[in-house]
Parts: sequence; structure tokens; C-alpha cells
Amino acid sequence: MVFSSALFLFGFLPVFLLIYYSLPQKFKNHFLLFASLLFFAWGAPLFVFFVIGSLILDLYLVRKMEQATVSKEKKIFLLASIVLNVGSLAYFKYANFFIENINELFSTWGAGAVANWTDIALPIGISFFTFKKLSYTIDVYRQTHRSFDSIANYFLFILLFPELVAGPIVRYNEIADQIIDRKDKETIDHKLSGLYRFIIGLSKKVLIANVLGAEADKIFDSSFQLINTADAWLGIIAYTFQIYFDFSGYSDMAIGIARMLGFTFPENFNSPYTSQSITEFWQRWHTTLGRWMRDYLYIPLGGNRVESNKRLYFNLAFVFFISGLWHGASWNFIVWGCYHGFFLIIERMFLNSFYGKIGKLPSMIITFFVVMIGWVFFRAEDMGDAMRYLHKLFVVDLHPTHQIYLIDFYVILGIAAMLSFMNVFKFQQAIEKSIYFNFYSNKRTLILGLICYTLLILSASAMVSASFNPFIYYRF
Amino acid sequence: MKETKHIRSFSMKHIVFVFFIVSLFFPLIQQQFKLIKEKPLEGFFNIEDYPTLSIEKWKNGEFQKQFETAYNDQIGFHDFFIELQSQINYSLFNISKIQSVVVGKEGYLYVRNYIDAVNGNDFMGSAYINLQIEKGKVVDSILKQKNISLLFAIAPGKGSYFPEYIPDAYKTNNHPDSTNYACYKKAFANSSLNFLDLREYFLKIKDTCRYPLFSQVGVHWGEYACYIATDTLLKKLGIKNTAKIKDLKLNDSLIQTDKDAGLLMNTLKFPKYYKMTIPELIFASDTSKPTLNLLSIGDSYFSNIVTTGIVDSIFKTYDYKLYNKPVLSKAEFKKHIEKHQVVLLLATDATLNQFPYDFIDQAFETYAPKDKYYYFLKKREFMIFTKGALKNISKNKAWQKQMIRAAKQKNIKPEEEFVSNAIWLYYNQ
Repeated sequence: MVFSSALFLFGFLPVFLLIYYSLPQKFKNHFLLFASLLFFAWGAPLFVFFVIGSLILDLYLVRKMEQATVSKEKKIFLLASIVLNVGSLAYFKYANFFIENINELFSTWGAGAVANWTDIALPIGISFFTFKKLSYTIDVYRQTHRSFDSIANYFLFILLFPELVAGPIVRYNEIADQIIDRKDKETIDHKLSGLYRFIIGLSKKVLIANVLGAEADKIFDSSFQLINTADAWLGIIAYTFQIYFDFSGYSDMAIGIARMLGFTFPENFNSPYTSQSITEFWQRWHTTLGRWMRDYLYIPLGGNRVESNKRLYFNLAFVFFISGLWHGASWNFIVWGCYHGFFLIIERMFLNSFYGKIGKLPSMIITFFVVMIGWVFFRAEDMGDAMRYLHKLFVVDLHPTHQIYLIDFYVILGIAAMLSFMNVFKFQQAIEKSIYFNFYSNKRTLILGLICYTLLILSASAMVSASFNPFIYYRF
Repeated sequence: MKETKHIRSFSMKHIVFVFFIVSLFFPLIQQQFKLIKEKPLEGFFNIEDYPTLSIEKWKNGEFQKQFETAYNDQIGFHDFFIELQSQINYSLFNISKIQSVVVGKEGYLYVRNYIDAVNGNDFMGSAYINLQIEKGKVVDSILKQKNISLLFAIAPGKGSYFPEYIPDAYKTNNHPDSTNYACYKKAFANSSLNFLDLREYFLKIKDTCRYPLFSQVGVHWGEYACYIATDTLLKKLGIKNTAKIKDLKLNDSLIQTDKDAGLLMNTLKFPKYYKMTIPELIFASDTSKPTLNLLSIGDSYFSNIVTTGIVDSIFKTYDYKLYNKPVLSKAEFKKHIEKHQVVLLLATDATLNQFPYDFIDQAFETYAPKDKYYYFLKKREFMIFTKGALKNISKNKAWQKQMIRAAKQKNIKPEEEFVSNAIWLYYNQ
């Protein structure tokens, strides 16, 4: 069940909120956990018991780790928990990928397949909740925060439905206290700003990302014979904005729902396309993932404080290799991760000083271009398609196109571009701050309310009618 | 963040928040109690039913998927939401997101396949079309021996009749000769087959015709155009028309076929349109009784002619098969054809990609196996079909990938897999 569906918007959410707000404080977390389990079971019914089992086992390991007095013993439990979590992720997400590649390797040597494909379904949100589980284990190990006393609270932290499917990746130490007690944040100001944030996120997803996505899909799914260079550029530009509005819209919805419940989730996006380097891009794009990678992988590897540049570059490359793999079990995701890692390395080698010389705007344009080309690997189905798409982009082919682009696509593309880059202006930053991070006066409540209500109706119309496609006569 | 403490502000915010939450319940309430009457949507579409719960369906996610679709399809204000979205698209962008409807210039509406036909997007290829004509010639000569006349006719579609209102974004034809119409026209001209080009005739009279032949918001030709088409067809067949126009009336409320594209858009407010003319016909009773039996195989444009009632008065009997359906067995087919003296095969340019609706293929298989050209043409058919199938595979990324995977599993070259699939398709089409 995605947030931008009729079942969620006009079913699950209002019923959930009504019951949640009606319940006394002491039952709120229990009900929230019940709703989260229901949400998870709806999307991944077969995995509920597996997830519950793995949560219990993990909880046991972390408790034992916390109780252990000897450092070595602590480390053993830490390792066991990490192996359990990484192992589950590896099995569910990457088993077939590894089998496929090993078989491919053996076949090039003339040998037969070493293993067969297995039918492994991917539990929803596994990449996200695995990282959350790891953050719990590591934060407790590092004594950044004590473990939960209650099993229910631990379950709630992992399965909290607003962030279950697509983040933001909320780390244990950021939310532990809020799970135990968030009464001071359960105010009407929080609820209202959360609601508005949710509606803005929904609009970003439905009114912008979906329109751009439909055109991007049309181009990326077309045979390469049927598209020309102009189509290919339009496709990747559309996808560049689609993925941003889709993902940031979903994060806004998650942050908004959480705020309605009294939680404060960390921000996940901060106008990433205004970045002036890839390093800055990763400080603005999916920031909760970036921070997770930094704190739980990059710094333990030595981070920046290493003896040689070689080691530093290795750390960067490794982190971005893992980041690529985390996004999907396919070579194109790995290449996408490595591509970003490569730019991070060369920025440290010489590119940053070049950016310094050319100024802010050219740096921003170059960075945007680099990011956009990177999305080709991310969006293409496999490496073969990615390479053919890049060929279409850079080897001019102007044969007449059969693609038809309607005016709404260009308008929405223009709006998306404008909203993505407006943050370079101070007035836009002020507007965003006043909507996202301030509570409202009466006047602002009403004005924003009117805007959000309009956006809600427009989003609902677009959402409900997305699949409506009647035939003129039945017999046709 | 600075929190407001003011008591008035506190209550105002509560009201706004509660209003929003209650609003989220409105569709659910409407779904259950139907408090507000909604205008039903036009067109044929599927409304998903709620699934019955079973553990198996729940486990494989089928239940959830169907439930979500059903919830979306049956939610309260579903029809209003769709109409609102359509209205926004129409009023704000002058477009329609109903895939088959295209909003043209000056309020003219089209159905997409009529534009595709003009652009040649549905071009069947000259090899295929020439093969149909070759087969048609064989069939025609055999039917002639049985005193059955075969007449082929092409009617104008809205796209070819009003090309000037097609939106610029849709004008993508760079090869005007690569359309089904251009190719059929050329092939008919080079053959002895009896062919009537109504499309050319309608375009010829377009500027001098006193009344509009096509409506602004419909897909089909109007009743007046149907009369002209029938009259022209009869002349071609050498039959005297017994139906004459007594009066022509301007019609305020369009009949269904004149506004079908507009209805299909499902906007809140119906688009503006110009009035159409409906002829009032008188049928002469003093002429000799009709003697011919007509078998007509065509698309919805012939359905329009049938509804005018002219055909009843001119032919002794007529049998009309829309898209040559239902398919008859060889024996039934032979018996059926031979009951008639005239066989009319009519297509609009948008249905030329289905023309002649397998009728010629079926007649060829029924009558021609002993013909000297039979094996020659069958061989050509095989080559054309498999070549076409290979071309389609190369254009379809998903299909191609699926076959490359299959080839890998069978340890054969992808090309071998493509060819064997094309051959399989030929024998199992």
C-alpha cells in the first residue's frame, strides 16, 4: 500500500488517525505498532513472521551484547547481529544476483550452472529496516543510546509505518526518546504542519513525478530504433526530475505523517540539484542514507582520517560501491554507485579546485549534468540498455521521432525545474522555511489550508483517474 | 520552531485540522451511503470487484492488489474525480488524458487511431497490402463466376477529413506514401477490382457541401454524410436509389455517434460543438421491388449507414457483419456468401489496418486451394508474416529480452529463437 493510493489516503490514513487520536496516551504506541504490522502484512504477508522472528532474535542478541561485561563478548554479539541482518538482506535481495553472475562466469569458462534461480520474493522495505536494525545494534554497542526496555518499542522503531517502505532512514539514537515519550510534540501546530507537509509531498508525487514518470517510462521503454537523440535527452531530463519529486515527495509524506503523530524525522532532501559538487550533492540527496553510510561504514573504515590518499579513495569507492548495491541487485546500480564514488575521488584530487575557479553557477550546471548522466545507469533495466541509452544521448541521431509530448508534460517539467533550482534564491529558502519549519499564524493557517486543500483535491483526482481509460464502444 | 500559544489560534487550527481529517472520510462516506448523486461516466471501462479473501490470494498478494484496485474504482466521488481531472486537462492544457481521445485545434476532437492512420503509424506494409489485393483478385474472379459482385470501399476517417485541425504535436508523418490508404489506393488502381474511394470523394465535396459531414466532437460521419455515401455506393453498384431527401433539419442535441468522442472525454462540462444536420428521407414506393441481397462487412461507419434505414429500402435482404464477426466455418462461410449477390467490404482509413477483416483470406482458403496461384501466394504470405513478426520483435524491447533469455537457456543464437517464434506465430495466428 503506497501513500499515494486511494486505499491509503481515503481508507487507512483517516481511520488510523481517528482511532489514534481517540486513544489514551498509554495505548497510542500499541495501536501504532498494530497499524504498522497491518501495513507491513498488507505488502509482504509472507514475511511478517520472518521479520518478527528476526526482530526477536536481534533483540536477544543486542540485550546479550548490552549485558556482556567483557569487550570481546560484546563484539561477538555485535558481529552476530550484523551477520544476521546483513545475511538476511544478502539472501533476500542479492541471492539471485550472485547466482546469475556466478553462472555467467562459469559459462564463460565452458562450465554449466553451479546453482539454479530460486523464487525469492523481496520483502517490502527490507533495505530500509535492515539499516534501522543495524543502527539499533551499533548505537547500543557504541552506547550512543541505551536499548529499549520494551519489546513493543523496539518493534515500533523498526516497523513504524510512515518510514517503513522508503525511509527516511531514521537512526536509533535520533528517535529512541520520541518513541518512549513525545507528548510535548503532540500539539495542533505539529499536527497541522505535518498534515500540510504530507499533502505537499503527495502533490509532488502525484502532480509532478507521475506526469514526468509517464513520459520518461515511454522513452526508456521504447525500442532504441524508435527514439532519437532529442527524445533521449528529454527522457533523462524528465527522469532526473521525476526521481527527485517522487522520492522527496515520499519523504515529505513520511515526515508529515510522523509529525502528525508527534515524531520529528530527519530531513532527507535539501534542494540537491543546486549542489556545486557531487560531494555536496550527497549532503543534500537522501541525506539520511548518506549520514548512515558515513557513521556506520565510512568512519569505521577510517573516514577522512587515514594515512594516505589511496586509503581515503579506497574508503570512498567502497562506500559508494556498497551504496550502489544497496539501491538494487543489478550491475547498473553498482556502476551508478561507483560513478558517484569516482566523482567524489576526482573532486578531492583536482575537481574541487577547478570548481572554485569557475564559480558557483558553472559548478552547479556541471554537477547537475554529472548527476543526470548518472541517472541513466539508475533508470536503465541493465547495463546493456544503459550503454545503448548513453550512445543515443551522445551520438547524434535525428531521425524523425514518433514520440508525442503533450503540453502538460512541458509545463510540469518547467515547474519541476523551477522548484528544483529556486532554492538558490533567498526568498525561496524563506518560503520553504516558513512552510516546513515554522508553525503558522491564523492567517497563514488559512491561506496554506486553502492551498493544501486544493492540492489535495487535485492530487486525489489525478490519483483516482490514473488508471481510467475507457473504450469508446465495448465491441472495439 | 516557535509554537503559538494564543487560545483563538489554538481553536482555529483545530477546526482546520479536523476539517481536513473529516474531508478524508468524505469519499468513504459517499462510497457507503451515496449521499450525493454523481453523474455516471461515459464509455466502456472495467470496475474491479472486491476480491474474496483466501489465504492463498493473501499470500501471493493477489488479494491486496485486487482490493486496492477495487477500492480505487469504487471510492466515493470516483466519477467526480475523473471528470475534474479531465476538465483540468481540457481547460488548462487543451488536451485529453483519455488515451484514445485527442483534442484538436478549434475544439475538434479525434480518436487517436484516426490520427495514427493519417500518420501511417498503423501501416501494414506494401507487401501485406499487395498480397491482400492479389488474393482479392483470385477471389473476385471466382465469385464473378458465381454472379457475386465484390466491391471494396474506403470511407474518410475524421483524421483524413479534417487534417487541418490535428494538433501539430501529432503531425508526425514524414512519409505520406507509407499509409494504408495510399498503398491500398495504389494497389486498387493497378488492379481490376471494383473499388470506391469515398474518402477522395468526400474531400472533393468538402468545401462545397452545404452541411457539415462530420461533427466537431464525434468520431463518425453524420447522417447527412451517410446518405451521400450510400447514394454514391449505389451509383457505383448501378442500383437506383429509392431514398430521397425530403427535408434537412439542424439538430440541437447531437445523437450519440455525433458526440461520442466528447462524451468519452468525461469532462464536467461538455465541450462546445456546432450543430449537425439530419436528413428526413422519403422512400419511393412505386419503384420495382428490390431484388438484390447484400452482404456487407465493415466497421462502425457502416453501422451508421444501417441506422439511417436506407439499406432496408434498397436491398431485398442485407446481412451486416461488423469486422467479419463471428467467424464462420468453411462450409458455413461458403453457404453464407452464396446467398448474396453483392459483397461490400468497407473500411475507414483507421480500420484499414484490419481490412479486409480476414474476409479475403477466408474466401481465398475456401475457394482458391485449386487455383494456380494458391501455393505461390501462400509462400508469399509466409515470408511477409514472418518478416513482419521479426520486425515487431526488434521493436519490442521486453519481447526481445524475453527471447534472448530463452535463447540463452536453450543455448542457441537469439536470431534462431526470433525466427522460430515468428514461424510459431505464423502457424498459430
